[in-house]
Amino acid sequence: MSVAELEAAEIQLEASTGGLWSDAWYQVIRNPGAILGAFFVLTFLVAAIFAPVIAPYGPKEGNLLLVATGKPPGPSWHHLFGVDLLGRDVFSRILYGARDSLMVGIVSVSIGLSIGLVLGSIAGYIGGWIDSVIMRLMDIMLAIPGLLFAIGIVAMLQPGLYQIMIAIGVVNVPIFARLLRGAILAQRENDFVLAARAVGVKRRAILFSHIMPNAISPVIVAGTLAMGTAIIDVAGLTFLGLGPPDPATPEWGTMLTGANDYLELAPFLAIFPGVAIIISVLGFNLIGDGLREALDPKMRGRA
Amino acid sequence: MRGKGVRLGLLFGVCALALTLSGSVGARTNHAAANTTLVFAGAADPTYLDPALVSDGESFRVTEQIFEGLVGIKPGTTSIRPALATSWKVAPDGKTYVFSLRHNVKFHDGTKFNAKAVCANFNRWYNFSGPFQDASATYYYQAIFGGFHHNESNTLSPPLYKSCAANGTYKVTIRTNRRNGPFLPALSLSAFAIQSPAAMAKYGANQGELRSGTFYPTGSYAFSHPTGTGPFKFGSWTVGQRIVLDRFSGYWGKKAKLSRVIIRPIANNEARLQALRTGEINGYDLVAPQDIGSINGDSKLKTLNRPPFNVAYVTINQAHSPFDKLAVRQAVAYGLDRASVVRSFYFGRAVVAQEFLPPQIFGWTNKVPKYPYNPNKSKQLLQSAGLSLPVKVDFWYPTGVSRPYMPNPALNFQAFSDSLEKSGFKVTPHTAPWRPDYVKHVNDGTAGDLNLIGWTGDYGDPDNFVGVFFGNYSPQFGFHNDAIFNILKRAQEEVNYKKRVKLYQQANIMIMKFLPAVPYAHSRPALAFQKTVKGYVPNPTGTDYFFPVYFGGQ
Repeated sequence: MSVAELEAAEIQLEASTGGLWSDAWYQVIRNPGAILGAFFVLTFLVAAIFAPVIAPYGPKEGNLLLVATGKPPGPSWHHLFGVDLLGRDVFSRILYGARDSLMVGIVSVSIGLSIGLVLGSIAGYIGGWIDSVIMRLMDIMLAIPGLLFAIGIVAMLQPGLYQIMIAIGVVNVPIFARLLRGAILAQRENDFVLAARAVGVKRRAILFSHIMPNAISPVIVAGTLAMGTAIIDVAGLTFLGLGPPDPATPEWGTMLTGANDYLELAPFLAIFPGVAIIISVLGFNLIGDGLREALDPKMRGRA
Repeated sequence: MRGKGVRLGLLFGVCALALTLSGSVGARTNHAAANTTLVFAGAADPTYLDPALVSDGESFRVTEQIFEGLVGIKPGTTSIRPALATSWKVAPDGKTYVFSLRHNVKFHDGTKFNAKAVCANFNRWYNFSGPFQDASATYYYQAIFGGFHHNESNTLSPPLYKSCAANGTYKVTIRTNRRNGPFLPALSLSAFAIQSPAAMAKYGANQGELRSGTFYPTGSYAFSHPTGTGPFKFGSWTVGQRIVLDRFSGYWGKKAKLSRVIIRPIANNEARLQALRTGEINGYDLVAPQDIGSINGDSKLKTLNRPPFNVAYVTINQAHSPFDKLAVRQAVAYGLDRASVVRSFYFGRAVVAQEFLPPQIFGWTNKVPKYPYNPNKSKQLLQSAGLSLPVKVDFWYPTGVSRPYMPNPALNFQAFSDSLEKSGFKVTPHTAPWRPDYVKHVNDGTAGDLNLIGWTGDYGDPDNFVGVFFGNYSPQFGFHNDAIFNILKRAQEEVNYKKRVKLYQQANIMIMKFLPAVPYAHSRPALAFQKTVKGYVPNPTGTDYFFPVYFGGQ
């Protein structure tokens, strides 16, 4: 993640005109991409949180009479996105599916973020051989392609949503660890840190009160982007059959797998979950990009 | 970090894979195929081409054209017809078979077919040793003939075959150690086709070894010199690409109408369909049921039906309590909404199975007890068995597989699991990939309380269905029922046709009362062709003849 390090280095703070966050906010709301992203993410969040209220049918509630001919009927007023092969409402399933995607996204990113932050700050602030050991370990983890690594972990733990959360979380650890370490290294040599050290502030206090707030912004950006990646990874892993063993679970990747053999018969079965994945991932990526630009000191104050 | 956006494409890429695949296949249209060459696609390459040593349909698809047995099957049926034997007699003891052989038949290598050649083949099977005794080599031999002259493993049973004697050039007497009803129909299997003894000796057909537990021939016979008497002779085999078969001009019977048949392996369903659409192939087997509608809607294409010769069923493992109780098994049977599953997921290509035998086969009877979907009755039965609802059930289904009797296991599973939950059960779903895990778990009896599985018949005898399933104790079903074991053994040993029919009808009624499993579908698989292809008759067994096929106007 050398790009991340470079970026982390770029985001060194200079004397600013306003507060960092108010500046960033100002930047974000003027970025049409970020606004669009926020809209997508908001849609996704509303769908996930209010699924039981919005959804006209239960996620596992099927009516085999609707598919008596074998061909599931497409979109209609009763079923906005049509019904699937078991006579279940696709719209409702996509809404409920958002819950799983959101949960996996948040949990896996939290796992990656928290472990990554601890490891990254230890490595960055203490340095020395501890730094070397941690970072070489992270290098080893990064050497394995992310999705492959996740597949390996899930295969080891048995397929299932919780296992997928753990797998994606673990895959995210080195990304956050490296990012934070880079940011801390950059901050550590700053004059205000030197000043704090000179007046005898304790190491822990320096780390948490002086370095961390300044080093955290690239991590927030990465966290937002990781949400998007996590949603894709979940869909990818469940598509490959590593998802929950209950095929009735309304999970977007599982829905895609189920539609795979019926593309000619009922293409909408693949299109709607596919679009849902795209919208949510695009949303997080656009917000992430917007935040990144907003927090980039080179862009700041240029408005 | 912007690079991450690229990963967006990953899933879309997976989605689009089938579409791009079909595009690249379509790029090579083959108009040059003269009207006497048929290009046909199966799903995979044959294992190799020594019919005595294979057990998969893709191998038999090819060997059935090159080789013939003493008996064959009447196209489109499961009843036997004379092939290399013109007639046969079974002695009253039921253990002596006298075959009159066809005159003036030549193997593709020019050597003569006669009584000596027949005995050479029977003795070859009987005397197999070492790696040849592994089930991966001689699965069908072991299924029908039991063991060998010198059994090298104590899991092998005593041999059925006793001796073969040539009385003159065109008469053969085969003796068996015990009476066995299925013996004659089983001889129609390609696995018991007569091969040229000269060619087998010349090209090392009796050389082979086990490679990581699977038999592999080391001679060249099974790869480039399979030699039989059939209407087509082996031309060439480009692994992964095509097998070329040429018309055998010295064939004893009606010569093949096609001068050449090319059989290609195309693994992906969608790719096979697209290859047919572009004219790259003239026909293919194993049509996905959901594609049949669109193929029939195409003015240039048609589908042919294979008569149903399979059964899909839900295993009930009686080794697990409370499934050892008949009332609980009855509750399972009443709790499975079989009619809906067959109606919704088989695209009109299946009938609800009331018993394990498909209706086409003798021994089938309408008098078996039936278990229409009835959730209330299920609940009553469970309560009458003293159980509190819901009753927990561990229910398995396979992933990564589509079988003719089970096009989409996940759909069957979900519908069944819904209907069971409405009938007083609480289902715990469990999956495993079809090979190697799932099939092994089912066979070992470790695939939960219930699991989805099925069977396609090999030859036209009820023993090939109920005898295989319930003739002996098996961990898959986990029950001992001597009444059922005995009647199936008696039926197997009976050689009188009428008596056998009666015995199998009785056995079917007993089985459906005892409910060791719940059968739910007999499906009709389909093949797809260009409309110009005529004369192809799908056999129930899944192995078809190409010699009557020809091209005609639409």
